Amino acid sequence: MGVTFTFEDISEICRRLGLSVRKSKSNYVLEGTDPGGNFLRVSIHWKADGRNLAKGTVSQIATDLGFKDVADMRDFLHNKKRKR
Amino acid sequence: MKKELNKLNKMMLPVNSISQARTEFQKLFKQAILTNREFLAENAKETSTDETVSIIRTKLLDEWLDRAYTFKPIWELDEENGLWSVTLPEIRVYTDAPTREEAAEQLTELVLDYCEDYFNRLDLFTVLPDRHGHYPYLRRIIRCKGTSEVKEVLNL
Repeated sequence: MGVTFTFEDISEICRRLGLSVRKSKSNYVLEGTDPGGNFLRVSIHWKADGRNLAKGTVSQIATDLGFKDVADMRDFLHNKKRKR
Repeated sequence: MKKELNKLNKMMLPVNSISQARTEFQKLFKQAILTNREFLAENAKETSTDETVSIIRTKLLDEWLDRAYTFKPIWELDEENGLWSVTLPEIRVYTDAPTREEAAEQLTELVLDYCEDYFNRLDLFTVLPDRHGHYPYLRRIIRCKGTSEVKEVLNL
């Protein structure tokens, strides 16, 4: 079974990390400084809004957000008490 | 050895003061184009730093960057979601779409948006350790004359 993420999942993760969302010309830019003081930036094409993201994209996002891997990011999404 | 290197450095990469460079700018400009020589300008009044600025033939710089900073997109098919993902690891820009063509189109748009953001906030991005290296790649993009050239540079 695969692990899928939607744009909304990524938005929620970013919000919890303290990042802000802004709409640019062709994409949503989620960026800011996380609680550890690291500047994080993820940009997602607006056409991805409302559907699943491909595994390759999710893997890149997990790296950009400083997670160990996709499973770590998935755990963060489900464990609402987790800070990072 | 260090002394000899310094001497060679000054001979091969002439350093001009700002006022000297200002007075002789036309001459330096011509020489840079005709001889491919690079000139440095320093602020002689500012002794706390040894920073210099280069005057170099743009065509030469473009050629070096074109050769050294090439994009190698990584394509991956996610069969479960029926999506193609494409990543440019050099500048950490990525996207996905139902077809390769759409993904290439979206990636181009994202790269152009990133370029605009990067050059608008150059003071921020060039001090971030994981992003300051994006500069030569993005410089290649902003030198392009149209989206078809951008796609060519991105190897899409």
